[in-house]
Amino acid sequence: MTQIVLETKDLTKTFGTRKAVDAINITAYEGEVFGFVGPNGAGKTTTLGMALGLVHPTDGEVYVLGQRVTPNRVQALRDIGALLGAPAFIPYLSAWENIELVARLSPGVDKKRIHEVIELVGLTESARKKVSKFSTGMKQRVGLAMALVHRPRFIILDEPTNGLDPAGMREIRQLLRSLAENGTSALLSSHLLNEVQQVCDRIAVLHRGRVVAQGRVDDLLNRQKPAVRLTVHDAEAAVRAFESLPGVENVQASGNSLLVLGVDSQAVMNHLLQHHVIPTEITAQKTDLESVFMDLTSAN
Amino acid sequence: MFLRLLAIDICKTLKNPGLWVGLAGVLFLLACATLFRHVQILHGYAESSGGLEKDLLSGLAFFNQIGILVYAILSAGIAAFDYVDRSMHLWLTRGVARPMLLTARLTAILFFGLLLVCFSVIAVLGLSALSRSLFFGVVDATHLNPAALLPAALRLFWSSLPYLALTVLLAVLSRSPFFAAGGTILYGSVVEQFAPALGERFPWLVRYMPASLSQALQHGTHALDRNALPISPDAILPQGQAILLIGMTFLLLSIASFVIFSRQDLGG
Repeated sequence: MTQIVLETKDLTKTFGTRKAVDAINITAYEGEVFGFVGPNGAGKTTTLGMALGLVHPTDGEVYVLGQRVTPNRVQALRDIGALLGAPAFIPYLSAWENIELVARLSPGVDKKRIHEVIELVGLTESARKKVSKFSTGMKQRVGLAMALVHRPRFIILDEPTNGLDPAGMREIRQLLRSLAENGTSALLSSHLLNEVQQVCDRIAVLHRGRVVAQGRVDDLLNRQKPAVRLTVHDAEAAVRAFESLPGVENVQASGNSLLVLGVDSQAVMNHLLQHHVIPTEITAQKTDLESVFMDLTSAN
Repeated sequence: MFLRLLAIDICKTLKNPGLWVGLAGVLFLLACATLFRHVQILHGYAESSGGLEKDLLSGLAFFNQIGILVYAILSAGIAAFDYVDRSMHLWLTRGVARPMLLTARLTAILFFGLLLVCFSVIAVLGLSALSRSLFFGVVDATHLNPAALLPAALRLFWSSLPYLALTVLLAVLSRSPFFAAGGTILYGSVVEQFAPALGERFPWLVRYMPASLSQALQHGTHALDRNALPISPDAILPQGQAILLIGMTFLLLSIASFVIFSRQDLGG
């Protein structure tokens, strides 16, 4: 049976009169990369803060690796690696010294492992340089190395590709996938929906402190209704024709260009031909996480 | 885990360039004070009687004056910079219990406080001996009581406890090293300086303030001079009471820090 690595039960956090997180229930399973998406201020970082014992919940419960974080924080977080927001480090120490210092918390982490993790995040050349002199992307790599050095069972990463160039972002995505394949579960909080779509198995969409959708990425993408973009010579005739096509939810016209929502390209093509309207161009709108996300957040 | 955390704190503080700059600063100030005193003696502006024991008493009294500044910067550096660079997350997200983290911090602060006091005692001795041999050609240590050196250092260290704990409390409250150090310095240089003016209306308040307790404790330091007569003015508390009250002040301020730190939200 797949084990649950993170579970929240009606988790709530109130700051003054503002509910930052409102009774959310999320579940992430072992061996998967779980995505956590939402606009700024949706409550993602506060939720992760509660999972990591940095923020005290106002109500509800949060379990990590089967242990309730409050009051079993020490046991619950022992096998966790985390990178929350901008990476934390001691600026006057080198990358090696920072990682070595964090590694001291876990017995059995030797120099070989520190070398390994430095190589894994691509810092071999700069390991002895002071972190304060690093670029944002390199600091991010130090943060990742510190999160991974003790071979955690579950890693929580908040915007891990911030400041990385496209090649670096790709490396991190590959790293996350390979970690998941090797049994390290991951929670990835990111505003880069393309990144989440590429890496995550399941996601939760957070909006105004509430979970508005949760499930497999494929299932969420399939929930999105089809849309077709086309160009015609006579836009008015085409719009009239669509009035009799079942399933059409909306037709947006801009000059000779039309966006038809709710039907697929085959139905659009057949219908237009029946009405003697010949499109010059027709494209099925690709369903991506961004449009799903926009639908979910604007609907709420 | 506690020892690991303590080792981490000591290791990172030792690697902090700020510590060494601070120690160099203390050494410079003590050297200035020693040289100033000896130049005064040389030109007849100060009493020339006594030897190394008088230098030591005067040097330690000077250190006691600048001590608040040094203790505040030292403990703010250890306790509050973690909030600024968010390195506190490194330990807390790995399951380190908050009381254990703060205990390790406090222990590291006490360790470095003691180290600082010992460094200052040794520095005053070394600087005085060097300066005396340069200015007077002789180092007179006949009246110096070496057995009183360690108790004097410990008295100095014990006097620092309320200031160290106050800085930690302010660091936890404000999450800012500048507010923490600034608050303690302000307390030591303004509140405690003007408190004696309230002495007539609130004598009990002034009597139990850290500065008065420290003053009571420092009377024992005169034992460094073999010729000194034991004095115990009526106005000040007995040493035993001062030691106990300083310990209690430290404990109360530390408990307040623990309570606040345990309830703090540290996300973001």
